[in-house]
Amino acid sequence: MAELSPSVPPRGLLLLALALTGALIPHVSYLPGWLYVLSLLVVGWRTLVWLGRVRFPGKIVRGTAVVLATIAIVESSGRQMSLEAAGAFLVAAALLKVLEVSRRRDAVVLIYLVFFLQAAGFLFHQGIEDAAIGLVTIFLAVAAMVAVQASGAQGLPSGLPVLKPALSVMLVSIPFMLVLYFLFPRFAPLWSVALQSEKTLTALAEQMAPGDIASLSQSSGLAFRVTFERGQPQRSELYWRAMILDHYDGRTWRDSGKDRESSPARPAGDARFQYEVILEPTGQRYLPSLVGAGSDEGRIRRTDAGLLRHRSPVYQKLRYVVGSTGMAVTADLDDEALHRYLHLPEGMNPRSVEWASEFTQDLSAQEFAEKLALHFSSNAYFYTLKPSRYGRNDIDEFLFEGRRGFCAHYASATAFVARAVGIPARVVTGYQGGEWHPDGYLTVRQYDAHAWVELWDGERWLVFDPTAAVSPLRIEHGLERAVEEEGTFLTDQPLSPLRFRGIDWLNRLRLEMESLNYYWNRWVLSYDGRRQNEFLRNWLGLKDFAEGLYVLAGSIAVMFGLAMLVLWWRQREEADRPLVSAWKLLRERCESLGVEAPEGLTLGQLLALIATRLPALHSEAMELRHAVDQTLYAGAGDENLLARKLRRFALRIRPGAEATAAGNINKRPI
Amino acid sequence: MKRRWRSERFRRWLDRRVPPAAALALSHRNVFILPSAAGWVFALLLIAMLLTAINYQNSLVYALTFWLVSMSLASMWLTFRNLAGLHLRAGHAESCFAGERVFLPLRLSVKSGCRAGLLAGFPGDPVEQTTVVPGVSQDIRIPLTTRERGVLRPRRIKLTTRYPFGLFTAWSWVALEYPVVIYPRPEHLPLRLSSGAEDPEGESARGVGSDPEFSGIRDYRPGDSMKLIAWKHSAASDSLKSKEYETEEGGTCWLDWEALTGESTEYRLSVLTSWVLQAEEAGIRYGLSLPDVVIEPSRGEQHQTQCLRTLALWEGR
Repeated sequence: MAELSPSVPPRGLLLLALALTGALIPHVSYLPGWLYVLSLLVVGWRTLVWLGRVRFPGKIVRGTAVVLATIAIVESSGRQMSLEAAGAFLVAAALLKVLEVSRRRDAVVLIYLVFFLQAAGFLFHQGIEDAAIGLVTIFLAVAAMVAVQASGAQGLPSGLPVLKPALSVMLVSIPFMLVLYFLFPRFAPLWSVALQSEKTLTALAEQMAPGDIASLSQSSGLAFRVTFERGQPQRSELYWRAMILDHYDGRTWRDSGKDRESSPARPAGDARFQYEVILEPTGQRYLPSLVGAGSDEGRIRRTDAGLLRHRSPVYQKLRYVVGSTGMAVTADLDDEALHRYLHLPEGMNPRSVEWASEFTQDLSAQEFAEKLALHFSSNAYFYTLKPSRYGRNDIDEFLFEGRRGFCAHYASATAFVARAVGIPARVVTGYQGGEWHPDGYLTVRQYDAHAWVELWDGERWLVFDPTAAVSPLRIEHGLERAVEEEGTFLTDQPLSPLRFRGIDWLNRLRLEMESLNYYWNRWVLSYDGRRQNEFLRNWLGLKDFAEGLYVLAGSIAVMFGLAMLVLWWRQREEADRPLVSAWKLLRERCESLGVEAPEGLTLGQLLALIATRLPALHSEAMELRHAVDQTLYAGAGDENLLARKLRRFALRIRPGAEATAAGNINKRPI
Repeated sequence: MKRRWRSERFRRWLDRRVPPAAALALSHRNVFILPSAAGWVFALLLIAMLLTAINYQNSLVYALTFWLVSMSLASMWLTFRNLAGLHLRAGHAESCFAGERVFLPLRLSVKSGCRAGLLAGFPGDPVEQTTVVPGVSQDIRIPLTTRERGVLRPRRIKLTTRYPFGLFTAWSWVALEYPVVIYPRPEHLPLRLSSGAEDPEGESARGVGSDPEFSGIRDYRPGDSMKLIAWKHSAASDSLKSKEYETEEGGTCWLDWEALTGESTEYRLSVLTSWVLQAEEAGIRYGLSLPDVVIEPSRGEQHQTQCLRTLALWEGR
């Protein structure tokens, strides 16, 4: 069939432009500046084309633009393929496609690009508001699809709705979408994607030098949320272990990497706490957990030091379930490990080493901790986010001169002195505390980042937090109270709602928003294989996934059946119009007598034909014909009454009718 | 050969399934549906999106993908529904000459719901696009290039739609009966006289276009227009009757089959057709003489039509 792809109607173009704009919103945060220039150029050119001022760009212009855009993207992304570079490439492709949109085919390609751009946008932003914008974008794109398909050679017929059908299709599709969403098996990634976002994620550093934690302390970003399923720990128990820094080079503490990972260890049967964590992307592998943690999830490894690590760096929100005993497991330290945990660089911080030698040599870890805590609390040490600057022997300067610091300083100094005394020690970084939400979950933010120390007492690792000795408020009430007098809480974010927790209604509003986000995270963003299993088990009463597949197949069948039923119902309605069915009956009756009625005959003509062929019914047929004319064309009379009359008449057309006609004339006595 | 057999078999199957008629309502019996090319591309897009969702473990991408999947399934139903329930009725087509394009009127109507983006056409001929709204009959004329004289036996009209999303193509092969006669293709040959009795140049009858006069009732003849049927008289007797019209008498010439001896049948008919046109144009009274058929000389539109129809439908020899 010779069919030229029709041109895109103005309404379709407008919808398409709006949809494209919507799809670009999630990408705005990272797009290089020149892409905005490109988009302005493209929109300008296309508008001029629309106004009839210029023509569509030729092949050479378009080809050049594609080559230039590709080069620009490769260059601006530092020749590294990242998610951002791929996104920018998609955006550039969509923008350049705008230049050629004139016929339906181009528009369809652009609409498909919009869908994919929106999907890619969800890789960058997944908040409720991002989803809402995405919803509008998809609606506009669907409407553009309808407009593009409905338009013909004369353009879009005026008065033909476009938004309404798009909306109704979207609404009608929701049930099946939900079925698929909840029941489609959540596979593990099929292959590890090389494309990852280069966006700097807020995370704990793999090393700790004085000042590092302080920078996190100025961020109110979400670190993770926890829902306790079993047990409710005290605030002082909320030490979220993330990393162990066991190597000290005189300036920074770092991970020696000698902490071996083992296969997933199940949590001990007597785990006091069972909890679910939804971790924000970190780009790292650590999974914060309480001490004595274990998990039965295959993707989670446990190290010898009792830390949990994810199989691969966490680039998307991650949900995991942990059980913790709340107690460090007993273990043996081999010589190599002992040496590692006692190692100190030569000649650093001589005053601290000297001070350590004043401690009794066979001091137990517990006694050492008590002594040091007493030292910190009885002397004029301060917990502050604005510590003095310390020089080369920073621990000496901190312990004996400045005496002002925050957790990193205290932890670093404590671990150093402990090692100098001869007690194996390591620095642990992670988070401490969090904010209990009225709904019962715990929100841990970046400013809850913390560092503390673990000391080896010969059997197990003992948690010792020197900061608690200096500033009990930090542990019991969090950072805000600890630095209240100082006024350094979130100084970089003057408008952060977290700074206005004192104002009651504002705080309630903030908590409501948090709650919304929490459920969004819990039920939408972190709906994974495990949650799916829970859902199948608890809500649908299914034991395993195979049953879920039956439900999936069953619901498809039911929906298909419903659609068929609707279809059948509609047809039935048409057939049921009484006049039409009477007409059909009349025609059938005629044909059963061998009176051929051509398909195109009107009802009146059919009656005339009957009158001709069946003389016995002649007068009645002519009468009915008159009634038909009166009812259908003059509008006088009831259609249903006429239908009844016709039906009664039709039933009288039977094999006897003809014979009667003849019999009336030639009636012979038997 | 095999292919031809197969297409023949398809045609017969189609004739059983969707028999030709003057009016037709589309339903699941006669509407077919398959994904369009754009639909297959869309399926690829959905697969790419699903892979993105799986590999990035992104719930929102999952949701978007599943929504689009669900919408495209719904669109399958909507595309089908865009054809189903459509009522089609063949209109009255005007005769034309073989080789010309005949325009077959098609009246589309629907009881409920708009039907947009409907394409109707014969394979190989231009396609008409239209939109039907409830309560308003939409008339379109579908062009068809004719090949041979006689009663038009049109192939099936292909009624297609991709509305609303273009992901699926729903179509129906519509067989509508058009009682239209295609006249032979006129083969121009200057008009000669076969009887030699009258000289057309000498004729003075110039009453071309005089109104036909009602002259009586005769038996219905196949091919008579619906307008000609006298329903009242038909009802009174036991067979169909037609009204007959005549024009006033005038000079005569005969257009004779025998004048073209030695030529092929179709050529002769074509030349006779051309002569009928020329004679009518010139305002001459003319009669047509074919083997088995003789039409008495007359003129006027009615007469011309009768002659052309006779030529179109002539089956002898």
